[in-house]
Amino acid sequence: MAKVRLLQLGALVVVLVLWAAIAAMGVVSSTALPGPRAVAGAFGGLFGSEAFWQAVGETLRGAVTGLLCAIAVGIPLGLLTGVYTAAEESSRLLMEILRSFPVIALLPVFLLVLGSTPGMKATVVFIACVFPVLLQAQYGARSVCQAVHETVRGYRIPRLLRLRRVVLPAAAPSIMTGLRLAATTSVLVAIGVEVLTTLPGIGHMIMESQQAGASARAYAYIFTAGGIGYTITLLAQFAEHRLLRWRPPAHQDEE
Amino acid sequence: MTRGSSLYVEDLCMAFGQGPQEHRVLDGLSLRVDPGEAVCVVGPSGAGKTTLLRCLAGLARPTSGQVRYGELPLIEPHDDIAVVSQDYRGSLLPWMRVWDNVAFPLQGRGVKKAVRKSRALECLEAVGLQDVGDKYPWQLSGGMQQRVAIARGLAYDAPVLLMDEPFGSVDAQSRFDLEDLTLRLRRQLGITVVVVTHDIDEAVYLGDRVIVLGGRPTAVLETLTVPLGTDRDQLSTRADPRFAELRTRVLALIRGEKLPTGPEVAHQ
Repeated sequence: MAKVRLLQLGALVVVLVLWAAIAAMGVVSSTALPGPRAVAGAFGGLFGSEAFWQAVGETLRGAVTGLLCAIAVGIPLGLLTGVYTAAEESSRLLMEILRSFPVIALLPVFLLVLGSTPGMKATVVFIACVFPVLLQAQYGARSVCQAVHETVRGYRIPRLLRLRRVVLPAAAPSIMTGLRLAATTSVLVAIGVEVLTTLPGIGHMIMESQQAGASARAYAYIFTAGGIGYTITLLAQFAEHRLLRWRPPAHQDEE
Repeated sequence: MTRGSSLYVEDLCMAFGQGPQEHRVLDGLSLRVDPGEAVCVVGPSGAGKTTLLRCLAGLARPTSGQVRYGELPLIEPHDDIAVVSQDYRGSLLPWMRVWDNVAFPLQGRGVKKAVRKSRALECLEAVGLQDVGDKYPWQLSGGMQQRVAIARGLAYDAPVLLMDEPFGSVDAQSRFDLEDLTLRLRRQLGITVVVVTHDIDEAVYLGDRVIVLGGRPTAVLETLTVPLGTDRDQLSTRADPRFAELRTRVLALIRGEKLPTGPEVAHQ
């Protein structure tokens, strides 16, 4: 285990060294690609500034609001359509069409309807995140096996209790996969919207720094975005581990 | 001592598919199980034993004929009837702790958590499982998981316990233990037990009566009374000459149907 960790860290160091070498050789101009040292320096300046934390806060607010709404809507809707075949069949075509729209392509429409507001950002995040959550919940709900269905019917478990204590936990592993996907998407889309509009946040700061010629600062923001994404992945893994404690150990290594 | 009502199966037919593809599984089955009785239904694999049990549980509707519990036609599961299925792996919910699995049907009845839990632990103890309440089902062996499924049936407090090949997938020793457990619970609680099995010895060992199914489509070949009393044990009961006689009789009935080269040929 420790050996693997060492190798992983080694790979990281190699990339950093390569980056430093490319920057030092001047193959790419320093405005396009500043060296690691310059970016680290920019970081130092940013951590003390209020603008940085404000930008991080704005991005997170949009991403988290949209994501929470997607969870609140996607999980119940997915479970219901997963349990009731008629609901799934009648909504399938609509669902397939809706989720095929690249959400960024719809951005001009949202700008027109909702204006350039934080609410618009959260809405776009919601639309991008709701489908992975919904579809995974639906898929999970359908995976409840026949023996469980018979048992639950035989013991006359009421509908709501069945949804809460049978269908939801049965679908949980599948839902967690959707959540991990949606969590990364939420930050990505929030930043995307900030780059394309004038809404405040990390995306906006990247654009602004680049236009001002402060490329080291732009990279510092880009790495911040990466850091947020990585943190979300870790958090999701932790939550998954806690929520799916009931699974036999063999299962936990599968993914 | 006995509770509940009699189960009646009247002229039960079950067919799958429609028109020329129709596959008739059960044909004109009639039987009756009285309160407190232990009845084993034995027949070859594929004879529709599980289908019969699902009809008795109100989980399947017959194509024609009817199943009644007392006066009530069984068209859906009933509070008085608990089912223990063969597939304990599938029927225990893996995300619930053992006690929670046993107590879950009571939650459906609105029983409070503390009451549920103590009742579940009581039933687990009755099937010989102490101190496993807080484990998850996968942490138990197959035989223990099947005990949990039986405890769940007991906790449901139903006068009728239906068991579908209940000990088919556990090892031989656990199987004997579970058979004795079933006999003991039945004696102590006065419940009606219907066991569906393909194992002739098991059917004779557990039943007050053995209903032998056979033929294509399946019908009742014969109903045999088992005159071995209620106090049975694996060693002496199985060594009893009457036990041997009965199992030979059941085997002959089932064989006779499956192999037309048997005694019947001589008649033709």
